[in-house]
Amino acid sequence: MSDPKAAWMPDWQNMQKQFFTAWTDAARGGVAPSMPVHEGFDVWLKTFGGRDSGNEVLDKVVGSARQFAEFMQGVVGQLATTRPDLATPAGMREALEKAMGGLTAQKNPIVDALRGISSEGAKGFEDMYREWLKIAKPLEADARNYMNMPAFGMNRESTERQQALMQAFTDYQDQNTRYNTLMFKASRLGLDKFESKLAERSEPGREITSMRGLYDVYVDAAEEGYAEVALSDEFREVYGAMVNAQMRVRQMVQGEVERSTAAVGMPGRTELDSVHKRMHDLRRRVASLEEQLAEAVAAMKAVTSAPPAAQGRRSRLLRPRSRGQARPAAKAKAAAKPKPVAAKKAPTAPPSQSKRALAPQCRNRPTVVAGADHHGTFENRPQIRPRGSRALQPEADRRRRRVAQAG
Amino acid sequence: MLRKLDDVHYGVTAKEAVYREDKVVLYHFKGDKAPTAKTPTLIVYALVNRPFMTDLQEDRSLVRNLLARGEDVYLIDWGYPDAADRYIGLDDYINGYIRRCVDVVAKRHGLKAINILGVCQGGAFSLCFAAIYPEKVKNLITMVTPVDFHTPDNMLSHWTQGMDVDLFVDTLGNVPGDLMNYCYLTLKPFRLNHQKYIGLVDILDDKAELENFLRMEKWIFDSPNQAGQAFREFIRDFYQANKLVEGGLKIGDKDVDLKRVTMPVLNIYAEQDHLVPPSASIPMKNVVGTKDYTVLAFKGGHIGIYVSGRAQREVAPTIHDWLSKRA
Repeated sequence: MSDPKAAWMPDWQNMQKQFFTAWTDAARGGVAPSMPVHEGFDVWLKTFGGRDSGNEVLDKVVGSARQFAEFMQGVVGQLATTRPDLATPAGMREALEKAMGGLTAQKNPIVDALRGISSEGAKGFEDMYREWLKIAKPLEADARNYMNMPAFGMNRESTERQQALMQAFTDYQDQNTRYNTLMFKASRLGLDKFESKLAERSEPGREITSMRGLYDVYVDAAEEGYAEVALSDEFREVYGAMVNAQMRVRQMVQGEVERSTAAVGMPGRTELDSVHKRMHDLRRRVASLEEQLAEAVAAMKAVTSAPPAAQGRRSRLLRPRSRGQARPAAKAKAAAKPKPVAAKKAPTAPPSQSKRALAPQCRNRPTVVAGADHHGTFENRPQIRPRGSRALQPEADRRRRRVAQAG
Repeated sequence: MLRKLDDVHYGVTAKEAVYREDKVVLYHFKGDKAPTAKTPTLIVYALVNRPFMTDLQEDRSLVRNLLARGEDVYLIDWGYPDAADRYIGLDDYINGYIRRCVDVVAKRHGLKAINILGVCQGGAFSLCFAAIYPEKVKNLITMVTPVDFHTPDNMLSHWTQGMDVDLFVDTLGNVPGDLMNYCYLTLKPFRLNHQKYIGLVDILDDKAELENFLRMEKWIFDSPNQAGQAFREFIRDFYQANKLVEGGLKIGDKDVDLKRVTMPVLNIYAEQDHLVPPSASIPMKNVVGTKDYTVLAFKGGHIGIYVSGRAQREVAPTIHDWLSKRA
């Protein structure tokens, strides 16, 4: 049996063609189709098991086509079936507004368009609010009970929190209303612009000749109306206030949920944030240490790989020597004996970058050889040992030796 | 046919991961022939959406076009930040990841400085990087990159001005990619949400065009979450305080003075860009310190600059020719 969904494209194309033909005929003075075309979309959608086909793109296509169909049915249907005088720009605008069921804050094409954006990959503030309001709803009911109660006694803090939460809910609703009022204003402005554009396009040579053309003019007008409002100072203030109000509600709800879950031993947001902050700090430290280590290793490699003549006395000490090789005893003794600072010969030139980087390693070397190096870096280098060997002799051995000498 | 259409991918050019750190991966692209350019170019993409818009499909790929002309191309893939990444800030991105990726590329080629190609927000990052570490950047290319965030036609910026971004990030942690997408789509709700899909009827019998459409849809809705701290800093310092122009920007403990951007700069903006209006990008000329500044006004939009037929003919050749003269 063939998959009915696999054949969706020819059906879709046919429907679109029928759709455009029918409404173009209607616009040219014919009679509008008796069955609303968007109902046809609904029938077609049933093939996919309802409005949610499971295919994001398909749903968007169908949703948009429905919106288009409603638009056409509104405008052209009015034109074809009721009043011929509606063929003026003002009449078209009136027809569209009527088709929308009258423009109100609730029935508003921009709000519809914004809601239509919501999908698996795009979720707006309203979606987010709706989603977690499922959790917050009981809290809202609780908060409402506390709204007018005086806060005192052992539950004072809790009562105050509930009252603040209720206030935040109310504030968000107020800000949302202000936002929707502006969207209503934008829709009205869009219709004004639609009317103006139709008037412009009624000039000879600029007439709209297709349904798509008419729809495109409507979209241009709606976008312009929306943009004008969205770029206004008032919108900037209202949008910010709406977002901030929602965040305050959400933050308070998160706090309440965290308090509840903490009672049963579940980690909350605060606890996880703390862990993540520590992780982040550690990652930064590790990255920094890795870089320092890499620099030190690179500097050491640069020195050890350089020809012997280019290396200073200290760097020569880093070169491994075979066990049978004679130790420069005199030099070792001289190195062990501290010299007066004034006796040191001043360097004729500053040390190279690589030697500077190596210097701390050399200075620390006796300590490393004395047993502090747990990484084994220098442990097989006996030529370094004399400098620290005396310090390493156990005190008991030295005492035994002194006793023997005295004896 | 439907099954085939569902199975669309992007990021088509062969590539090799040469460095990884946390969720960041540095890729080296492999062309059909060995690169002839002596200096490699590192693409620094925005944190929003995936960087493979630059390599969407075989016949629409900035990367592929650059490789074909002999450029040696690397790209930073930021990955998908999760809750454990919410404290990653701009210091981590610019002084951390980008710097280390630049160092890796430079070391691989035995160079002290490489070319950087920054895209959108990644372009703003690249500008900051070039100002902090001018010695590491041989040539800087910026595409659809905002510099002045306070121009009157910048709708996104307008909307952020009244936001309490600290409250926003403290509440949400990371900023969901879905929310970012929603905000972009609400810039033109009718055009991007309805008209575009109505237009699909025109290409329904064209398999290749349908696949292109679906590939683009997939890319658009593939939006990583934004690391909260980086989002906070970007909104506060770039969008709200406009510090790239006004001055006073610090990334971590480093001052960002765009007058230190003295290497050659090629700035490419899109004339119909609704996300980064030309007015936001054009002022770059006045704030950078370079005497070698070139600008290309591309006839197209924010996305078209990578994937349109015109882009294939104009953008990569311009970049290649410009780099060749400064090799």
